[in-house]
Amino acid sequence: MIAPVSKPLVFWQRHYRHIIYVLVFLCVLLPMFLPVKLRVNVSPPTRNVFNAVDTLAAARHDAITNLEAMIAATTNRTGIARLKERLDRLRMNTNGVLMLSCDFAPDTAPELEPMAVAILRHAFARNVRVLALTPSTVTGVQLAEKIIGVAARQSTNLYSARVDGRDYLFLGFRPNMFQLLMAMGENISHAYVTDNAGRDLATQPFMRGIQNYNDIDLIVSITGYTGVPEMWIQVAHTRNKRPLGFGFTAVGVTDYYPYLHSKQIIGLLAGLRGAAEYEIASGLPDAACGRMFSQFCSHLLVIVLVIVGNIEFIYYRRRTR
Amino acid sequence: MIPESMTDLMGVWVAGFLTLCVLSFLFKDNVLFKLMEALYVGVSVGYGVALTWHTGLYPKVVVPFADFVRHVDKKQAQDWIWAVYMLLSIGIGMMFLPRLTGEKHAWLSRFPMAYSMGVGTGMGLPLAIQTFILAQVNKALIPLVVVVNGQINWWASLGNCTITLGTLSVLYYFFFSLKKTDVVSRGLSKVGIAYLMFAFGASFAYTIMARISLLIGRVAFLKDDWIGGTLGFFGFM
Repeated sequence: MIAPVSKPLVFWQRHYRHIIYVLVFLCVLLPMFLPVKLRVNVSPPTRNVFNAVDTLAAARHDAITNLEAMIAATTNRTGIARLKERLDRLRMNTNGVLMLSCDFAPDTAPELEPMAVAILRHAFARNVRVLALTPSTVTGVQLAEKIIGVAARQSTNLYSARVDGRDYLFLGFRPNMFQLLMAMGENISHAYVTDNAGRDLATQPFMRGIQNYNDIDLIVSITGYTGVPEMWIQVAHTRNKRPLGFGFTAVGVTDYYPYLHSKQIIGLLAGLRGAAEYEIASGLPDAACGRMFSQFCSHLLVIVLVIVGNIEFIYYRRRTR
Repeated sequence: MIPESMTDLMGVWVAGFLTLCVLSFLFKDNVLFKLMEALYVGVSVGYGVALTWHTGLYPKVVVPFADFVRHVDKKQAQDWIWAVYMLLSIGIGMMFLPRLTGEKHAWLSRFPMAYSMGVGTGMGLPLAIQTFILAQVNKALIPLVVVVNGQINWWASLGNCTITLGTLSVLYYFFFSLKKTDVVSRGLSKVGIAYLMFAFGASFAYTIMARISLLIGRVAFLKDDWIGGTLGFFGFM
């Protein structure tokens, strides 16, 4: 025989969903009013992306030195002319060029926007030129444009305001991502033709030293869509041998750790936590760091709810025996 | 962030209202949520079509072709080859459209579909094999004992052993054609299941983290941009 159930339990059984929603909402909202700053340790995958951006000028210097050595060792005249042409392009951007692919839309922006902002600010502070694009999603174009514009203007006293078309360029969206990425391996200006504002890429000062992936020192793709990182790995790393880093939403980030292990990517930022780690590494704590306490409280609640759920499960199993 | 103009403020209010419409689903399914759902799909598709036209078809097909027709008298052999190539490409692309007219002519779309699949497979297959099979298999073959400067690095060795055991046991678990009756086979399969459970656990925990992050983003928007921004715009903050 089953014993009668108490009133609080009946209330809980009827409204447990709504109670949990309210608790989660409170755990997110209330910590935002508290001035608590959690200590965030920077994990090696995040540190690797940070270091790669931080040392882009050195990477470009190495590339120039290597190319000069190759030219000195080459006897073929045609080969020398081609190498010299590339050397001239590399010398046009001595601080390095970062390609930032903002492959996200508003549905994943709360996690990925802080990553993009942190990387952009860090790159601008290091005088790195940024070539931004949104090859995978139509709905992310305006969002990415806004993020880049804000990061270029709001320098937080670290750098002077960046100039569109000189220090950075936003290419926007083009259909057929895989074909687009492949075509950029040949010539970026031919693949995109115009930038997002409709300006001809062939006449843009920014593009003078940039022909294809060979003139890009680091590619970082920030995305929440499965399939997008795979395309970047195939085209940028396997085909064009360029260093590649990712920022991915927490929900699917576990799928990409094998690529980190196999060194097909240099680093990986995992969700909002990854963004906070990058902010800490670059010494610019911002939105992601401010949200860590809310996340901490919500995670605590989830752990408590898992324990309560298990106790409830055991309790009812015993009652029904 | 405080809105710069009344238009910005109206945009923030629209965003705030739509956020509440979506969150209202937590209470129960309702007309506001349905409205929001339809609006999101409609705006995304409409925006996508317009942007595809402006960034793809117009600059890459319409403008160059119009330019070709305008200066057709000055064109050389290579330009004509380009024009034929373009016409063929446009023709293949147009063959997708009969699907919209109904069953009778839908078969025509099979040709561009087959072309796309052929090109896609040809382009993607070698890269996919190199990226997802060869590179991964190559990096899975790691030394079980890591020796650095003549001394065993126990920590790295343990890590490599764990990876190797996980790879082998999970692969073995998925050999369904083998009868796993003996102790070793069953044990290895159970180890494989344990590895999979760890992976699912990590994935599940990350999923919670992601969903909470999205909620944090929306709540921060409601608090800072919607309420805070409105109060700031009217000078109350």
